[in-house]
Order: sequence, then structure tokens, then C-alpha cells
Amino acid sequence: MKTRIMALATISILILLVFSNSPFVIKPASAHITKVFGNYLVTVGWQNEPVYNGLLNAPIVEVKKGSGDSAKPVINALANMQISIKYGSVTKQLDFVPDSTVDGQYVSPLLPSRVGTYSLIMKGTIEDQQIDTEIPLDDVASIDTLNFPQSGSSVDTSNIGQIGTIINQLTSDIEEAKNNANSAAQNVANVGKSFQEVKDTTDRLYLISMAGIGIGVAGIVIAVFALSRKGEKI
Amino acid sequence: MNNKIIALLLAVVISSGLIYTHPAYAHNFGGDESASFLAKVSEIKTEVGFIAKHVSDSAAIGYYSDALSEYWNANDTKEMGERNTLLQKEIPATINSTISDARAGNQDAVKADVSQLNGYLDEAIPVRVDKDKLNNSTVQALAVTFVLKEVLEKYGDAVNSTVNLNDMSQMNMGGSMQQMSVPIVDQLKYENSIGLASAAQQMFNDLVTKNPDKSTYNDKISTAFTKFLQDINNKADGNTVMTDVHMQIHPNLVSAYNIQTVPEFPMPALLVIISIVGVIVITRFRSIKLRQ
Repeated sequence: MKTRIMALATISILILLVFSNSPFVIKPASAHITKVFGNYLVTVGWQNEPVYNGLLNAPIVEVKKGSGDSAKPVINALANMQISIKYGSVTKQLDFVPDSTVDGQYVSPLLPSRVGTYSLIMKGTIEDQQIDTEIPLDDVASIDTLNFPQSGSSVDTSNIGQIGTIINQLTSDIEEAKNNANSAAQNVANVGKSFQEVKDTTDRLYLISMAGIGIGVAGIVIAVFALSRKGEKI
Repeated sequence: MNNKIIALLLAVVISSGLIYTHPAYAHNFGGDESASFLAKVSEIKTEVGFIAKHVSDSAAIGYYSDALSEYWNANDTKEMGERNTLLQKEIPATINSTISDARAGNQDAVKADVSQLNGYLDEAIPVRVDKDKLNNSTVQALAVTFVLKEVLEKYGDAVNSTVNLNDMSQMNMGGSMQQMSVPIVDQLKYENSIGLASAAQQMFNDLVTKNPDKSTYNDKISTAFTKFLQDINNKADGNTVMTDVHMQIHPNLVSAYNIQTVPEFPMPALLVIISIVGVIVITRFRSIKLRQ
């Protein structure tokens, strides 16, 4: 009897171990990191976790003042903060806006395009507290783990060289198109400016012409009036 | 004899139409939602600041509550809800708690409310105004003109002006250069106009720091703002205050920050046309009468 119970317990533990390491297990979403700066708690993380490349997400920053459960959200906390996101050696300035649900929480929509480690670089002040830090975010996983069937599975490896050439060609085409678009935008801006100048001139001419027409018509009326008077006298 | 009188009248009316031509455009600025919102934030902050100053003063709180209800109404709440439901709820709620705490005489609570409301309003700016517009100096300058419009409206009421101070056509262009103090008939509106004028000046100062390249115009506008504030503080007559805004601040803001003005209706031409129609009617009537 004892051995049976021991065997069952061992099997149960094994099953639990297998399931806990399985990719199909839903892991808790909270991978947010909190750092303390003086009297302020700054928590960063992704809005939706786990994070996959190619899916819209948003880094979030939550700022509270105080400690523990009594900490209170700080309103307009990021007014004097510059926050950028870093991936490898590449950084991008982020514009955080207040979250729609939680006071003192700010989000900046972002689509992480690559798998790997991202971090937030925060510089500035929150109220009177100086902040200069880099806080890592939860790693971005590959969307391929969710893809089925694998989108790249049919690609023959012998074609990779050809694809590289095509991509290079496309890149240069895109660059050229971008330059053309920039020059077109410049032309449009010039046309807009010219149009505004024409509009201003037209407005002025409108005033002058209206006054002119009025005077002209008045002259005609006076002339007609004078002629009719002359006729009456005769 | 009668014909001579008619001819003379015609000449007078036509001449008056030509003389009427104003030396400057009336500054009718087009609407811009972003600039309106920036002005609204500044105006609300000014009004809640005054509520904090007048805690327990029911008359003053009543006046500033009415002013606040003009600046933040149900439509503003609805529009905010389209972008951020938290601010949609918190901004009006904090305005109401500021007013109720002020009525209850709770100075500390009002101070906390005002600080929180200012924070929410600052948060609302990037939510409500797109980044491009927020960084656009024309939009910011336009917001200054919107606050100035409120100043003139309040000041006009405070001194019981018979003319609309925002209507440049009602300015006395050839008026005496000697400034006169006028009696204040509504002290709260007077105080409010000073507060809003200071807010407009602060908005302009913020604009200056972001646009150092426009120093020539900025210097002129800064000087004009200083004089404007002085004139209001000295209870100058409406025409003096109008001159400060319409002849000094507005033209330089328009030129420096490329603000588009709505073209003025051609009143001279209208006067001339009306006079001609009048003369035609009279002469027709006279000729019919003579034939009879």
C-alpha cells in the first residue's frame, strides 16, 4: 500500500514538473520591474506580456510616491522626463501618454519588431527627484512560436542568395522612392506657400475692386442723374 | 436745390465709405481645435487658481464656478472620453471637488485639488493635441490670442464698456493719447481679466523660449504685453487696452508666427453700394413724381 502511494506521489510530481515546463502553460503576466528613487516607485514593463515580435504592444511606466500599499500615483509624473527605448545599440525616443485605466500609469504604443532584450532609458526629474537609469523590459519572444504552419517553411535554402539580391534591389528602390517623395513633399509645400500668397493678394484685390466697383457705379448713377436733370431743364 | 442736396449727401456717404477703410486688418482668427484646447487649459488653471484664493467666499466661488463651467462643459468631457476615459472622469470630478472643498472652506483640500487638476490638465494636453500641433508655434501663438480674447471680454464687462473690446472696428483710431482710469463695476471680472492676461503673457513667454529665432518680433510683443498688463492694472479705458492688443500684440503675433486671419468684410464697398441704391431709389421716386 505504502509503495503504491509513493509511486502515485512520484508520478504526480513528475507530471507537475513536465507541465510546469511546458510552453502551453499560461505564465503569470507580471514581469514588471520596480525601482525605488528616493520616495518614488517607478515600475516599468510591457502592457501585454508575454511579448512577441511583430505584435503591437506598449511599454508602460507607472510612478507612485510613498512606499508599499500606501504609495499614491503621481499625476503628470513624466512631464520632465525623457524616455527612450533601447535595443542593442539602437534607441528611439518615446512619447508617453496617460493610460486610460490607472492613475499615474503611462503608455507608449510600440511594435517590437525584433526578438531579444529591450530596455527603457529614463532621464529627467519626477517632481523633485532626479532620475537617470536604464531598466530592462521583459524579453521579446519570436512570433514563430505561435505561427502555424511556419510562414518560412516552404522557402528553399538555395534561394536565400537570390532573395538577398532582391531585398537589396528593393531597399535601393525604396530609398529612391523615399527621395522622390521628399522632393514631391517639398514641391507641395512650395505650391502651398505660393497659393497662400495668391490668396492674400486676391483678398486685397477683392477689397480694392469692390470699392472700385462701388465708385464706378456711383459715377454712372451720378452721370445718369446729371443727364436726366439736363434733359428736364431743356 | 433738392438735387444739390442729394448730390451732396451722395458725396458724403461715398466719402465716408472710403474714409472708413481701417488702417489695419481686424484680427478675426480662424478656429483651431488644438489652439482652443491649449487656451482652455490655461483658462481653467487660472480660474481654479482664483477659487483657491477665494476659499469660503461664496460670491467669488460662484463666479469662478460659472466661468469654469464655460471652459469645461459636457462636450469637453465627451471629447476627452474619445481619447482617455480616465481623464474624462477625473477632470470634471476634480473641478467639482475643488469647488465643493472651496465652499466648505477647506484650504488644504483645495490646494491638493488644484495641484491634482493641474496635473490632469497637463496630462490631457498630449492626449487631446497631436504631437505635430503641440510643437507648432503657430498653434501656440493662436492659443495666446484666444486667451487674450477672453481677457478683453472680461475687462470690457469689468469696466462696463459700451463697445465690444474684441471688435477692432469699434476702436477709436484717432483717440486721445492721454490715458484715463475708468471705474470698475465688476471687481471679480476685473480680477479675472488680470489673471487671464498674466496667463496669456506666460504662454507667450513659453513660446519665446521655443522660438529664439523670432527675437525681433518677440521683443516687440513682450514690450506690448508689459504695457498691456500695466494698463489693465492701472484700470485704463477700453480704447487703450484695445490699442495694446489690436495694434501692438496681434499684428506682431500674426507676422511672427504666421497666423492666418479671416479677411475683413469690405465695409467701405458695402457703404458705397448701399448709398448708390439709396440714390437710385430716391431719383426714381422723384422722376416718377415729376412726371405726374
